Amino acid sequence: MPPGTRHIFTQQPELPPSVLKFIVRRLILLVPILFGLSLFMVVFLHLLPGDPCGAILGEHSTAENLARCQHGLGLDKPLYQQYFEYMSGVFHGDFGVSATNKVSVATSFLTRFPATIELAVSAMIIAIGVGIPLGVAAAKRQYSLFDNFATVASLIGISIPIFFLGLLLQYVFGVWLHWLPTAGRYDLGAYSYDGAGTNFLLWESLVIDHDPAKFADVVRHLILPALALGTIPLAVVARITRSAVIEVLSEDYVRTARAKGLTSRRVDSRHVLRNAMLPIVTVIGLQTGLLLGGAVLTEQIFSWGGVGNWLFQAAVDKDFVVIQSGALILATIFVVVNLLVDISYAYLNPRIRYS
Amino acid sequence: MAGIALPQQLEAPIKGTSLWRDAARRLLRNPAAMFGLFLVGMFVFVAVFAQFISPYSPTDGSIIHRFLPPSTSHLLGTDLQGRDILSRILWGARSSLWVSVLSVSIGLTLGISFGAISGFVGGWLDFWMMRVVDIILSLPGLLLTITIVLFLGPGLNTIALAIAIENVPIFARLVRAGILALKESDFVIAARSIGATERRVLLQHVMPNALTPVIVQGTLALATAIVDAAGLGYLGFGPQDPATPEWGTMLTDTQRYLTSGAAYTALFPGIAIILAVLGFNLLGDGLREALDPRLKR
Repeated sequence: MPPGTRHIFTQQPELPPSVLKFIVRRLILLVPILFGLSLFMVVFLHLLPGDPCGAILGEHSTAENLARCQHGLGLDKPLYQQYFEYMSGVFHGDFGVSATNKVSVATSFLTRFPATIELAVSAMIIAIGVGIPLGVAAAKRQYSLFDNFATVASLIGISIPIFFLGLLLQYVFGVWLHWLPTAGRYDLGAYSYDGAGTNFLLWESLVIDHDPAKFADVVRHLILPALALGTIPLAVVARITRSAVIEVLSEDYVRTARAKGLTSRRVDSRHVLRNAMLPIVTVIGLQTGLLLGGAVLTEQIFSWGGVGNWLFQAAVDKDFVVIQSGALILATIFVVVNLLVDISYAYLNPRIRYS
Repeated sequence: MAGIALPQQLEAPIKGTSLWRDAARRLLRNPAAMFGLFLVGMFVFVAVFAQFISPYSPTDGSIIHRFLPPSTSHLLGTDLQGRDILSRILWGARSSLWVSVLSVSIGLTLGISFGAISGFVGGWLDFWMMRVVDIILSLPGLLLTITIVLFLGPGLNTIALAIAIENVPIFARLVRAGILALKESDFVIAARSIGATERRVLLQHVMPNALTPVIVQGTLALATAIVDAAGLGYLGFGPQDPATPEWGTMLTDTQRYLTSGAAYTALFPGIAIILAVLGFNLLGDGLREALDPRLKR
């Protein structure tokens, strides 16, 4: 069989050597990006007026106090030295210490990231679970009333600002209907989480505490923020799915599959969706990367206590170390998620050559 | 080698329509895009003529008239300081328009230059310029914007600059990708081979095709800029000058009164944002379809 004709629904290939080479190359390319990123953040924060000491001490601090504070944080050293010391810390797993509350950045991040993961994953489950079926259904009835409705709905979904949607959800389901809580991750008055300390509350409540009521409480707190955060990815996934499926539906092999007498369900699942999956997976990966980067607005509206709240506060406090380390960690996660998406192409489309 | 069969009679030359005329014709036939254009037109009109059409001052209000429900004298009611909400929304359009146009203009100028240099020069310069793009794109966008606004101080121009920096890498990538693809494309080679001048190749063949995705992205970026600016306003980084009403800031101001029965005060600025953003999104989608001949129905 000549290269390029092997099809997607033949047996899934093992990773060919070219893909392994591709992964290694991409991992090597990560190094200059991360170095550049850290350098960019340090220089960028240095160039901007203001520093954490100004924020800590307030406007009326004496020059002497300011100098002492800057000396204590090492801000009086030359920039290259600050960068060198920071980076040598990073290589030892030390991302620095917050200037405002003296907690290590790594500790803060690890306690807050689970909250962000739970929120982002829930939002993506909503987006994928609703978006793909919606897109497929719209594509199969192209230009029908349903398709037009879905198209308009997803455009509005993309156009609605997340904080306005959050407010609407809070108002309708919290203030008006009293169905769901509007802030926090669990009922502070009824439950406490100090056992395992993983901060994955869904996991802790169900698997460690075996408490269905506690689990239900976490889920109830998760619904509104996940809906608010999931709306834009949902709309994006639905739009991409629709256009990808429409394109595949007009392919010869779909007509052939139909002509062979396959059931419409089988044609959809084995021929249409599999081939339409490539752009859909791209978008899902990209959106997941974006959501893991901390949903600042959603977390602020729902007082979520995740990475978004934390970095927002750090920006307000001009807490250099937290901003630069937080951005470095999140950017790394983003780049790695994108790399995983690229690698998944190898499984979805063996025709792609990694060169 | 078998001889090439020449047609007996060449068909009369087809009278071509230019890319732009063709695109405009398709855009005009697309009802969704026309609705988008209408919304955008309304938004621009309101922003430009705010001082003539708003019934009240956007900044003066008296506490006695606070939280008036919508009525004939105050069509959308009043806010917590007794200011007319309709007037504030009309004036707020001006802030949104200014931020979106300024940020996209800065983003386009820097992005097109960056992408064009990277694409034309190539080599190691291209490699490192694209790594810079990777770096900015991998940073959490809103955090970057917030940091810039916080350090440079609040104000519409700062907000526009912060949003523009987020846009630069996106435009740069688009322009570079367009140039790289077009350098080697068949129709550029074909145009050269029939003796078109470099200037003609560049202006007639390369630029329109390299810029079409940028036009689409630019329109969509106007929508994103409005949302981002409102988001910054919502988080409390909007213009601090009370004489500059801003839609996102209006939402924050009223969020605290959601439970007090004055929820409508938050509803109208939100709807204003959605309509403006929807307009640019519809228009951008329509432009994408109109400018890409492969999507012809």
